[in-house]
Amino acid sequence: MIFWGGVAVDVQFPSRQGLFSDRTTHETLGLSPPAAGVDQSDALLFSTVIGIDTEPRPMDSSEINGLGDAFTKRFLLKGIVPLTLRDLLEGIDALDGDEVLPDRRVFLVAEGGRHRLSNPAFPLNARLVFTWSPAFSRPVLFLSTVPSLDDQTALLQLVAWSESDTTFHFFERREGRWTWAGNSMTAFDDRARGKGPFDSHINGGLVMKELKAPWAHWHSQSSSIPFELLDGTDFGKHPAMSAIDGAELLENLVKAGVRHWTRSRIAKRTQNNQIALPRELAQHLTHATSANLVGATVSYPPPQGEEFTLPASFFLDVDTFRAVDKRLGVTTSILPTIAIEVSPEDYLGAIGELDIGVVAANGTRVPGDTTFCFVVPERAFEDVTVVDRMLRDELLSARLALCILMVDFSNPVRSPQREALLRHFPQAQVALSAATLDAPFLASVQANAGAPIEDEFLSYWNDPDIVGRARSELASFSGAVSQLASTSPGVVEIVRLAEARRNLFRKRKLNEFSSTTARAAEDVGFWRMTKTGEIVPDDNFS
Amino acid sequence: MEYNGPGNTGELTGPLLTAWQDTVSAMFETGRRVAEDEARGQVNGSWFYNQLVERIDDVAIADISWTAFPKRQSNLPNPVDGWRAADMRRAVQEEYCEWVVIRDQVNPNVLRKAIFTTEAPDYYDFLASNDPDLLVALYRKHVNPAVELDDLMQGGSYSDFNKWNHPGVNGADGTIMHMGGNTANTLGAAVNLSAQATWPSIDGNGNPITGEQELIACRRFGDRVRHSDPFIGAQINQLVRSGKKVSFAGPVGLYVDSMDFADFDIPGGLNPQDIFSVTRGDDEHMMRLEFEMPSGSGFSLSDVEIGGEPIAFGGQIAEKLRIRVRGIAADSDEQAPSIPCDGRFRGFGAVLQSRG
Repeated sequence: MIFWGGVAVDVQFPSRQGLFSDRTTHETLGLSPPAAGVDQSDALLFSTVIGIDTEPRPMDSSEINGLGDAFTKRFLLKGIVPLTLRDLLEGIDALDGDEVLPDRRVFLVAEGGRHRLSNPAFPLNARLVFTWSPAFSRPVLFLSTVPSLDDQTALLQLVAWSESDTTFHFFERREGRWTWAGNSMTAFDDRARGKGPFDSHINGGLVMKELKAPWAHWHSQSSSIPFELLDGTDFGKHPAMSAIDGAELLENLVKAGVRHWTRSRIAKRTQNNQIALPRELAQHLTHATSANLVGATVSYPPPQGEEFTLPASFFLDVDTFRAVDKRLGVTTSILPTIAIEVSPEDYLGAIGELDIGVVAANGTRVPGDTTFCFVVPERAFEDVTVVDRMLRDELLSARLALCILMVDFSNPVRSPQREALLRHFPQAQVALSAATLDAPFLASVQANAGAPIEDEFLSYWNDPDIVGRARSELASFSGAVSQLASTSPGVVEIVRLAEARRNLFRKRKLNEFSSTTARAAEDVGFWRMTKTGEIVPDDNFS
Repeated sequence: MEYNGPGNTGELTGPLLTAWQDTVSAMFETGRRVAEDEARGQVNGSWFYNQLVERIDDVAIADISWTAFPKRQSNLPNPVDGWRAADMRRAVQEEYCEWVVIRDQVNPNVLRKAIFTTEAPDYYDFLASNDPDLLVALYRKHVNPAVELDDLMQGGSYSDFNKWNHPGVNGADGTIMHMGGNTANTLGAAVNLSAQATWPSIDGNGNPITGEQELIACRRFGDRVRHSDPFIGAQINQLVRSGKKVSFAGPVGLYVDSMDFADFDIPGGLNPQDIFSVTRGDDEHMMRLEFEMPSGSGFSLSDVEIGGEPIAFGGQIAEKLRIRVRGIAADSDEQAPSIPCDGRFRGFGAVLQSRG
């Protein structure tokens, strides 16, 4: 459960796959079919904001003009209605003057990737992402599609930035028409939260699950997707699809877009010298509103005789700690030099003991790990970015953020203990002041002193050397985990913990494809890590 | 396609240009022999060819690009550790791009300038032997007017580690003319890497090897803990698997392919174009980039933020640069056969450049 505006919201959002598959009918969308007798053939755009629109609503030119986004301005408002990938590619290439978008990039993701090379029955699940940017600037158009140039039913989902309202707008071509599914702020409307595109674009921004190296499943400088796998598609039949850019570049573009949107969002929430909806922002510190996937940068199976490093963010929320670290004014980072190394033999042993494999939706199973070892959930960049921005704008102090992060720090992605602290942030708007949210939060926590989670927080807050203590505890933890990872049974425990956390990730609608993560043949149950580096059963989720 | 001097600078003409083309051709011949040697005893032939000899008109361009910032210093829990390590030693700048930074003399935390180069030492070795006047002129123009030829030579030969190119104390002088701080950053090594990687490869069970890590482990053409080597090799290998033979496009060199300014915040209403200049190479073949705030702007590079972080290290900029090698692919008369992974570069007596 996550708390939104004080109301618990179930994370079991409607299926993104169902909403945006080729043959989805209005009924599947949760919309009534268009009223009989109403001629909608002239409408260039239909509003289909799931949770708000009860039927596809034709938008007039005035309303479309009000969106101010990079797509409608260049196409629909000019009466140009691209229905295929080819239409879009050529339409954008034909732009001129101020509308030109000279910097085009194309990226390829395919969960089936390398498994398909050895097992043709493994579904490829290839999708393309295009971005278009003005010169020397951030992308203003993002397109998610498949390598099919002329299919009017193939996936065409667009995200377009609007400089008018400084939000992203979400579009999809379906059934021969373009639909508008809302903008970034729609993601926070109670009626629409978690629905439609916002089941994965939860915070209204850009999403790339495998955002960091090795960019599992993406074509990248770490691992290319052989072009042989694209035989039978239209890839290579158009100049725009003759070469693929590396996902390492998409990481930069997505992060830039997330930061830009976050800055806009917080500016909107802090107008008139107030923080509107403090919990909406604070939940990014206490909760995992989303998650990213990260992995070791060695491919599976790992080379013999060479230890490899597991991603630090699996063990600690290194990114948010660093955001805090930057603003603590310390000369020595609170983060330890954390490098958890495992031997390939131990890792392979754990894979075998837990019978880890990659399973496609059609049931095809390949024993072993995904293309890269140890692909696991980590804190979402969009969550970290909001916290970073809140610290930068002094909406809360680095000390407060640090003390919250230290609560159950050994479980960096989801922690019911940290989540329980959200209720101490005010629900109503608060007047801006230095570290605005500190005072009301602390007052609420102190009023609940004596409860275990609040006491854990207060033990940090009241420590005159919180920085030293944090540095010490994190270093001790790092050492304990390194020790655990140096033993064969310890690696089995770590891989079991990874599987438990992947199980939680797989409950998110962000997890589109079965083969995104490897999985154990048998349910491993729920596990958590203690601050002393032990892995124990997790009663929170059992 | 023209095989001009690197970067299309126009500084090589007439006999000097011919001499450079001969040098490049010799590199390609070496590459061809490296490829042949890789499969010696198994297969005769090479799918790395010398375009300067064969002069095939119908070729496809194959751009291969990667991140300039070293993989070995990437993905650390605290990125500052990686940035600092990469800035401090040219030897760790191993992705065919090297840089130096110039800091404020009063406040060393403030970055004034960052200079990036993808120029290979091979070219400067060539100049030292063929046109030392041009060599000195380039140094005087781009590094320091006080450069003398004697400064650049050691024992009668050109020295990459001369005090003007590699003073040994990065940042003290902020001087760089070309790569060479990392001894693997040479044109010859890039050619040989590509040549070794041309062979379609199979494992012990006869299964094709196509992945970056697997292929470099099999053919041993470089260091797997780099962005560049495994990716270059895998892309070259894919071209050959698709029925091509490969060479390098002209002008031969390593270049900055693109710069990503999406996450830059530049103060003062300045644009990205205001904070960098391409001081060697044309727009399509950028070899030397200098980042510096405009004179009189009142800002330093450290007033620019990348991803919300003030620029404190050249490495932060390097993360946003992409380096490119441009291959060409021609239809091959016959498909390259696959060979197993016992191919080891045996050499043939000469001291050859490698990326290992």
